[in-house]
Amino acid sequence: MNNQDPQTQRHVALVGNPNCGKTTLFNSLTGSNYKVANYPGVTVEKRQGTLNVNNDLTLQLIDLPGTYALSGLTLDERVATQYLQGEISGSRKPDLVVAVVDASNLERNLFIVSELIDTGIPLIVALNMIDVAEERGIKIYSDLLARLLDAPVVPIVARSKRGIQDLLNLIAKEIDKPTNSRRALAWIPDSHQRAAHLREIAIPSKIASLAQEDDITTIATLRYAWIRQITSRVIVNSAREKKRASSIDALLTSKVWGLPLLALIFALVFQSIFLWASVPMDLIGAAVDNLSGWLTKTLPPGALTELIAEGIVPGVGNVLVFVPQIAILFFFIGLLEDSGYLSRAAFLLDNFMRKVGLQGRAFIPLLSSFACAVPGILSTRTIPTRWDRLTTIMIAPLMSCSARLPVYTVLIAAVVPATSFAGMISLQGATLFLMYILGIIGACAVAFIMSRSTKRKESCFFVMEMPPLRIPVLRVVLRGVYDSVLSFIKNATTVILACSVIIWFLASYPKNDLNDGVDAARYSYAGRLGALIEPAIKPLGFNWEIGFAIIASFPAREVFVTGLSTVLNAQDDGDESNSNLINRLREKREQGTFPGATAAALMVFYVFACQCMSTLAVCRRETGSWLWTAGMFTYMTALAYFAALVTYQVGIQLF
Amino acid sequence: MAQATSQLSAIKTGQRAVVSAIKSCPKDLLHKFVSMGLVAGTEVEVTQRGFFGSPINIQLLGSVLSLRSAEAAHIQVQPL
Repeated sequence: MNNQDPQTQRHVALVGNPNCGKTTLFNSLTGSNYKVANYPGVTVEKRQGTLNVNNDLTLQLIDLPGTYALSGLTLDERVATQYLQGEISGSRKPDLVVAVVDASNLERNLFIVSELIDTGIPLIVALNMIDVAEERGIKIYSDLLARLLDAPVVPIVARSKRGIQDLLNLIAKEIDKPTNSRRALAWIPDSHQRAAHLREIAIPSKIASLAQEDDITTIATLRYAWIRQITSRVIVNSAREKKRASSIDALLTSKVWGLPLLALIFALVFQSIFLWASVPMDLIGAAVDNLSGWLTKTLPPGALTELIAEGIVPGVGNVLVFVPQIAILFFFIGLLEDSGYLSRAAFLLDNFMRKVGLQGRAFIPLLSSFACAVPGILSTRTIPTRWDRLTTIMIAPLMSCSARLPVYTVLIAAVVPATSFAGMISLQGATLFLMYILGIIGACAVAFIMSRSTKRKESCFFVMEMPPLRIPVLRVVLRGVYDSVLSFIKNATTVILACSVIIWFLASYPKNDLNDGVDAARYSYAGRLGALIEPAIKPLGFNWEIGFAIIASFPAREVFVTGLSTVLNAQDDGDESNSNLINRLREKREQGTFPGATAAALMVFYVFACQCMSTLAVCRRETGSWLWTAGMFTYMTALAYFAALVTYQVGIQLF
Repeated sequence: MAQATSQLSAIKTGQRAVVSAIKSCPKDLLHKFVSMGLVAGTEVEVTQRGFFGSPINIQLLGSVLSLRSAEAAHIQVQPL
């Protein structure tokens, strides 16, 4: 009788090194029947899915984070160990563990296997990537390996599903076996002088807390000695002994070509993003506008219709417009990561990034943030140390994202003359570039301050494996894109929805029925808020109209353009284009009501201000902390205020 | 006759060595080293170095590890 209830189904855990194909195996086994969440209280991903072993047996499959050991101090290792001990609230000890092992790297992969044997949980060893091993001339006697480990071993190739049926049969057979501790601690020779002491502390969860430095070394040395006497018997390496580092790899990391190639690759990626994303983004933008208009016409007039057609649909829709850009960005990041290139990038940049208090692995998230900080912050998961990760998350929004472009474009067109130097460098282009540089300088300063203000309880280490370069598997990459986009959309439709409603309400009410010449925008709550903060923003050269636009654009900075258009009545003649707004601003500049210094201060404000609900929502999710999220908003707003203040005050002296 | 041991950070690109000990290393880094296979007896080869000598890429046990020069300084090796 097949048990369909996930609560009472038995659990199988997948454990293994990073890059050993564990997640590929998980995807093959669960198909689309999986979900991704977080372990309670920590920002470690929990992937759980349904495994249909056969018609009579359904199990829950949990993909634990990739770890090199169970006994270490990193968050991933602690979570994995706690899970295996049944110490995570809401989860119980697994009934079976499948250790996914890279056949071409057996010796090191057996380290965690020996720790798993020590836990006593029934174990199957899935010997993955045997195709790669065969290519390299490595032959493994899996039957002998199974005897020496006292655990069943099944050769598989997860990418091509070779051997998967054998694995499923084995799971069906082993799931009912009781706890097996025959080989536990077999790596401690009885003759060892400190055998008794080691037996006491060598439980993975205890090693982390109890073992001293020499214990750690002794335990590891003994484990490897035990592993070597196994691998010397089961591995036959018939081909060229060493794998020569490929010449491509040497080129990618070379002192001469490494950085130029890196710059070229990323230039290509960003070009592609803007090229490919613009069409779908325009389509979605138009669809949102059309839907909004259609709803206004079709639904009965009234507050609810306005709320839906002018609040919710544009509010959420304007965020969904970013989906193509985010999808394409994640696609490229996925390609680069699956190919192994990102490790080479971190290698090339680590030194430079450390000078500003960052580290090599922060490069990708920060670069991605130039398109959009949301995927940038999500990709900080590759940074293992908490403080480095926090620093990177805090400065990611200072990388001028694509949403700032409409703001910069309009303001630059309104006040910067279209002249050029030497016929090549346009003043307008240079101003735009300057805005980007300002953001980068600000980010470096903040990173530097953050690196000085921590006493570093956990030392920040760089040590990382360089996975072999390979052709990325499209299936794997696309699944990553799908997961990320889905989580972005979920975010948008909850948090942004709530904020859109609030902002719409503030900007539409109360309505001006008095016909006293005061325009609707000024009469609304948002307008009054704008007027309220006017004294505070006057030193920045801003008036209540700009105040209104700034407040309106807090959930999403692109709204600034619409907000300013609305309040300047630039839409009176029905022309909602940016060029109309630009003309209005130029008029105001000539009249003296919108001086260049104000425009400059406004741009600088937008370089630093945190005006993106999605970013804050993702920050909250990835840091797990309201405090840090509030901190991000606060420091950025303060920075924006003072930078704009200085810009305006200096600007009116100079111009 | 055995050569004197030196720090891994001092080993030149292309050279091979055997790990002999890990000295005065913070615990979490030590855990990281041993879980990646850096224990006494493991053979390593330095394959690439970054700008200003850091990071250092080493080949060991069938994979490539990248670590900073300061981290590699903790590892005592016997050049081959």
